Amino acid sequence: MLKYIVRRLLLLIPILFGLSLFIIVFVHALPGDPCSSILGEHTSPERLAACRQGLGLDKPLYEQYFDYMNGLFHGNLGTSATDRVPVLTEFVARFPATVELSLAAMAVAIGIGVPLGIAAAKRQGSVFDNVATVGSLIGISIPIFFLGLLLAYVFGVWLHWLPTAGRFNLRIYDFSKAGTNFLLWESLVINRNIPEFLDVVRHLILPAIALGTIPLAVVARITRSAVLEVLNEDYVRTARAKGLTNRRIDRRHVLRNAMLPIATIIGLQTGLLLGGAVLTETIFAWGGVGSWLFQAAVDKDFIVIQSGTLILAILFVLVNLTVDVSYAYLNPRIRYS
Amino acid sequence: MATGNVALRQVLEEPIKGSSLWRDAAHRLVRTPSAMVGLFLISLFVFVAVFAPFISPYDPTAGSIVNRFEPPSIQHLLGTDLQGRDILSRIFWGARASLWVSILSVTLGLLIGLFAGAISGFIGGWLDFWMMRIVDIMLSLPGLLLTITIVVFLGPGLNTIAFAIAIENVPIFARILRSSILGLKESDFTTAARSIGAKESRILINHIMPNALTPVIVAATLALATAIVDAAGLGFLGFGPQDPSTPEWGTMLTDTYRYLTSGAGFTAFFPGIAIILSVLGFNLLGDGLREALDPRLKR
Repeated sequence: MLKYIVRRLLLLIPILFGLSLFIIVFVHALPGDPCSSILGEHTSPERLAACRQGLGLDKPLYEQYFDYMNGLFHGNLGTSATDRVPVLTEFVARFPATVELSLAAMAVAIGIGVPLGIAAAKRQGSVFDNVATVGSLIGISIPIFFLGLLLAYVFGVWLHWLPTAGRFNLRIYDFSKAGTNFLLWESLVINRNIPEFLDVVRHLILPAIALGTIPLAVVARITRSAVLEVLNEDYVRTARAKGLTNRRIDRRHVLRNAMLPIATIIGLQTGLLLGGAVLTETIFAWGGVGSWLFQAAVDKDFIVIQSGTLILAILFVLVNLTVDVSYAYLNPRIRYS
Repeated sequence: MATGNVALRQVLEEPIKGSSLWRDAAHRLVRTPSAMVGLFLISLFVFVAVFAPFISPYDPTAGSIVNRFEPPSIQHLLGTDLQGRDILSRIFWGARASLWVSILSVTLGLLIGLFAGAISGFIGGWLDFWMMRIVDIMLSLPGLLLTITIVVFLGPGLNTIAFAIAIENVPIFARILRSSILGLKESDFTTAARSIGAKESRILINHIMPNALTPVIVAATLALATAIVDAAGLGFLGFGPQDPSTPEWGTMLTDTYRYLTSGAGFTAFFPGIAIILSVLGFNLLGDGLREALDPRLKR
C-alpha cells in the first residue's frame, strides 16, 4: 500500500514536467501577451519591447521554459506581470476561500444527494423516484450562473434573507486576529466568536447552493444506480431471507457495497470544484482562485495563468490519487501491487 | 418434430429479418418517454432557431428605452429588456447563437477527437502512450479557465467560443473512442471475423467502428448540452458576440445581473429558462440513447 502511494507520488514528477511544458507551449501559442494589455493599445513599439524584455518574453521559448522550471524547483512560481504580486502569495491568500466554498458545496451535494439517491432507488419506479430522476436531470441542466442569479434575486434582493456578495460583513467580522483566511475555522475555533461564525455561514449559503447543485444532481444519480445494482445482488436476498431487519441490511450490506462508485464521484466532483468556480465567484463576489485566474486570463498575465493552472492541475491529480487510495479501504477486493 | 423445426426456423430467421443494432436502438428509444420529451425539446429549439426571422413578433434589436423592463403583456408576451427590446424575439434569435456554437464545437471536437482516438486505438504502441498522456494532461486542467483563456487570446465571439469548447471536447472524445476500440479489438466477434478470413480493413469498418461509435454518439449528445451551457457562461462573462445586433442568451443574462437591484424584474430570467429547456432536451436524449444503444441492457 505504502509502495503504491510512493510510486504514484513519484509519477507526479513526469506529470509535472509534461503539464508545465504543455501549459507554457499552449499559452505562448496564443496570440497576444501581457505587455499589450498592461500598456494598452496606444503605446510605442519601444516601450512594448522594453516591457517584453523586462518580463523575459523576448527570449526563445525553450529558454523561457528552462528559466520557469528553474524557478519552480527553487520554490518560485513567478510574479504577476500586472500587479507584481508573487503568484504563490496570491494563491495562498485566495485558496482558503475556494476550499471553504468547495467543501460547503460538497456538503450540500452529499448531504442531500446521497439520501435522495438511496430513497429513489428503494422506491424504484414510484412517483417519488420519477420526480427525483427528472429533478436531478434538471439540476444538471441548469447553468450555474443562472441559478446563482436566481438565488441572489429571490433570497437577496427580494426577500432580504441572505447576503449575496463577499465572504463576511465588515461590521461584524474582526480582522485584527485574522491569519489563515479560513474564515469558518478562524471565527469558530480561534476567535470563538459565534456571531462572526454565523455571519460567515450566512455568506456561504447561497454560493454553496449554487455551486453544489450540479454535484448534488450527479451524486444523486450515481447513488441511485449504485444502490439499485446492489439491491439486486444475491447477498442482499440472502440477508433478507435470514430475517435481518431492513435497517441492518441497508447499513451493512447495501450501503457499504454501493459506497465505491459514490466515493469515486464525490472525489471527482471535489477535484473539479477545487479548480475554481469562475462563474459562482463572479456572481457572489467571492475572492477565490477562480475569479483570480479569470482576471489573469483577461489581463493575459502569462505567469499567473501558467503557475495557477499548474497548481490546480496538480491538486486535481492529488485528489484523484486520494480517491484511488481510499478505494482500498472501501473495497478490500482491490489490492495494489 | 415438424413443429419443432418451424419454431427453430423462426428463431433463426427472426434476427435476420428486421433487426440491426441501429434499428433495435431506435425501437428502444421510441419506447423511452423521457428520450421522446428530449427529442421534442430539441426539435422545438432547432425549429425556433431556424425560423426565428419568421416567428419573432418584433425586430430583436429594435426597442425604445421608454419601454424598458416592461412586464409581460399582450404586446410583449415575455416583457421587454433593459433597452425596451422584446424578450421573446430576442430569445428566438438567441437560439441561433446557441445552436451554432453547439453544433460547430461538437463537430470540430469530433473531427479531431475521433481522428486522435482512432489512431491511438488502432496503432497502439508508443504513439498511443504519448497521445494518452497528452489527453491526461488536458483532462486535468481546469476546463472553464482553459476555455476562457483561449477565448481571451483569440478574441470574443461565437466562433472562438465554439473553437475553445471544441478543444475541451477533443480529449473526451479521443479517450472514449480509443477505449471502446481497445475493448472491441479483443472481442469474440472480431476474432470470429478474422478466423473466417475477413480483411483487416473490413473488420475495422464493418465490425469495430459501428460498435465503437455508440458510446461516442451518447457523449456527443451530452456534449451538445454542455456546449450550450458553456457558451452561455462565456457570454455571461462578456465574451459573447460583441455586435449588439446578435442576441445571445448568456449575454442577455449579464444585463439581468447588472440591473438585478435596479429595475430588472422576473422577466429578465426568461433567457435562463430557454437555456435550461434546450440543455435538458439534449441531456434527456443523451440518457435515452445511452440506454437504447447499450445492448447489455436489452430486455
